[in-house]
Amino acid sequence: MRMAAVFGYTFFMDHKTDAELALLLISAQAGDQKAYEEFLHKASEILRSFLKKKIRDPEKAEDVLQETLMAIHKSRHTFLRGRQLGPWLYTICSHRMLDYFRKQRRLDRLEVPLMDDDIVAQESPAEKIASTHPLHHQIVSALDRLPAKQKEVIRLLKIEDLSVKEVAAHVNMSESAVKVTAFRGYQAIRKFFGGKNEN
Amino acid sequence: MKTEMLIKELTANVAPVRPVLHPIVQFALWVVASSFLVAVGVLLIGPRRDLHLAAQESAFAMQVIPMLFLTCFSAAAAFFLGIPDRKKTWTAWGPLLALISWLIIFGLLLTSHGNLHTGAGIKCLRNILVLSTGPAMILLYILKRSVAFESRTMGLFAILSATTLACAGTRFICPNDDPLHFFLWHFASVAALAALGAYFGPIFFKKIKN
Repeated sequence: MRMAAVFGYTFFMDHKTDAELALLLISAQAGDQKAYEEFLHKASEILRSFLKKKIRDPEKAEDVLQETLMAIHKSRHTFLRGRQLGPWLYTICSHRMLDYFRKQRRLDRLEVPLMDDDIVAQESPAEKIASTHPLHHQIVSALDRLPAKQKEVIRLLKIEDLSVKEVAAHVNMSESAVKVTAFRGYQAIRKFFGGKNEN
Repeated sequence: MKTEMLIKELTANVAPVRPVLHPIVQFALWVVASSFLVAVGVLLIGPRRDLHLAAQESAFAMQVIPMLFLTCFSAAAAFFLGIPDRKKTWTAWGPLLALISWLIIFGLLLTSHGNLHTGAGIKCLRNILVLSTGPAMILLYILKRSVAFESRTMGLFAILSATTLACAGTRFICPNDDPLHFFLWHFASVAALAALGAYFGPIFFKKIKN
């Protein structure tokens, strides 16, 4: 077994699997579609089990896995023949994972607890927002200022508590477009609260 | 989108790709091309008249050698950082140690040199900019096929290596051997340009990737 340490995380890929996947990737570099498909399937199995240990939410882990596969696709020309595949694969995966954690930290700073279970059971979504917490009125005010698309996406994500995938299907946008729209909305809300704090 | 669907999409029209050159090969190509360009630049701008005398002074070699070390370590680090998995400890320590040795030598020269003056230095800044342009463009051109996970560090090392090489070239042009002049006009110019490289690194690599 060979160990590769990437950003302090350790993972295991035996020498045989490493060599097998490396050969598949080299064939893929030459344009072999079957080899590439097999490579991506096998790599995603290994990366999925790694990511599920690091990211609690299985859906988010799957999102990060997909981002990693896209990054692998864009960087497949950087794998050098004769090198171990494991460190190459996990460097790409770890960077995507770090991007995810950074984004989560940014979003967590913007989020406030909007409802508790009792209110969820009795009130409609609009009433949940107009709840006792004084910040809720400011949030409603901030949401009303957003463009329609951003408001709708944030409402579906945070109030209706839908997943990114479900929101994408609902508003007929791609998942990455949903994430970008939500992020811009959060930035606008943050600016709104920043202006209020200055006053 | 399910992962299986994504895999099908990615493999649908997979085109062959040309693997990148080994970072050592990239580095060797860059060193040869850039040294040639800086040498030509020095000849066109005009070498200092007392070059044959200055080159015999130990202070001359003491300034040029650390600069060449810093050039090589920074360039190599930039190329190795562009390959996933290729990050080695020396990519951080190598340039840092070369920089520290350069600063130590500066300190020694400053303390041992009496009567320090800065002298005019706009021409030196201009020469550094002119001499570093070619090497910087070649390095960034080679790096555009690399992976830019550490775009800020790569930007820093790319511009640092090009400007330090140019700075070494200016020792063959600038007749002012005063260490204070060199520190303020040559070293500070390199530091400022390298900082710009770090700042613009993410912007540059994001643009070329898109």
